[in-house]
Amino acid sequence: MNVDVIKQSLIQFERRHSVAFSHMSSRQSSILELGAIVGVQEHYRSNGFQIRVENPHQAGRFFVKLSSRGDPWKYSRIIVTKGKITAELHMNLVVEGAHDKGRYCVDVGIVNPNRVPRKKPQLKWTCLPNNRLISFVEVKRLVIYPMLLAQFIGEVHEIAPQFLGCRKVYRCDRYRHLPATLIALGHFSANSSEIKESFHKRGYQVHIAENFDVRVSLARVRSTRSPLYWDHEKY
Amino acid sequence: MSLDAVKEFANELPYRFREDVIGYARSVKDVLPEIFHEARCPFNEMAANQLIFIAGVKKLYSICTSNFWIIENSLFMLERSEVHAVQIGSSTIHRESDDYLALAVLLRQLENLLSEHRILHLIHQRSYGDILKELWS
Repeated sequence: MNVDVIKQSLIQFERRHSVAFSHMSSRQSSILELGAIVGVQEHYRSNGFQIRVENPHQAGRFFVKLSSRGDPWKYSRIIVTKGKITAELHMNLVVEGAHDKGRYCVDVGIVNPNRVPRKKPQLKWTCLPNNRLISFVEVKRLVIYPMLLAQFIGEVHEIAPQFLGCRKVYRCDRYRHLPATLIALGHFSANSSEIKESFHKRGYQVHIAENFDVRVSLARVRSTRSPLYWDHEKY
Repeated sequence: MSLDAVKEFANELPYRFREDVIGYARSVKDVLPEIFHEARCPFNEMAANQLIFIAGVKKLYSICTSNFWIIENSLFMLERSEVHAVQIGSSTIHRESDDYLALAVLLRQLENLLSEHRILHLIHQRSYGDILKELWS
């Protein structure tokens, strides 16, 4: 292996594709968040839910919400239904905190139906009331290290503390609604996987989906598989 | 030494990717003694340098594959719900869009380049111990 020769080839390659690399870099977070909401959609589909995508401007075109700014009625939402259970999935949704009037933007909000307006309301809409939030998903393009897990648990504590309580949240597990979930592109680093196991022993209803891109690839091949759970994962 | 080679090729990348590539190669450099120990190979400077370089290339490759495959898989899965295009800001992404095609070409050409230099199989290896054994042999 000639390191110098390969290095020169890579430099030429990167110069040739500099525009593509630049676009990729500026959109990476949005693309990952898109991957997350589609992953959540497929999780519900794999559990027997019917899926319907509502696009506000044009049928067949999914409008991605890029940040906390922007009116939610201008962006796509996904409706999941199974029997009497219905929920909506929203990207970058602003939600009221569980303990105070703080407002938090969750990457994917899983919410009760018809609680996010479909058109501009007469009164200013600021955020989803906390009691209308079923669950939420956070996405990181990082390896999972202990402090990232601690930060995620802090978010759950502020936004959905019911997942950290002694009583299990009704209808939230891998076969029904998702528990609070952290999606990451990276793997578990250091002793993060031990911390994850400890969360379950303490009764926390949280799910950590590491190596998300690998999971999505597998789910693509087998549509009955959830992209958020390996086959052996119970929680 | 090969961390310098990683820095040289990473220097052409946007800041965020550059930091990812160099940071990852550095993290592999930090655990070289463990990799050699687990692979039961005596320490060898040339193999160590090659391993650091491979780590940098591996990260570059994973950045390209994960971006392409997340878009490709998202489009594939949204098609199950009759959605054929995604609007991200002012850009529309679908299978014939310039952005999608540029990413597909980039990934294919990177794979060709790594294949021509006979390191694609090393990039696909998950364990650095296995890569080291191959470099050693």
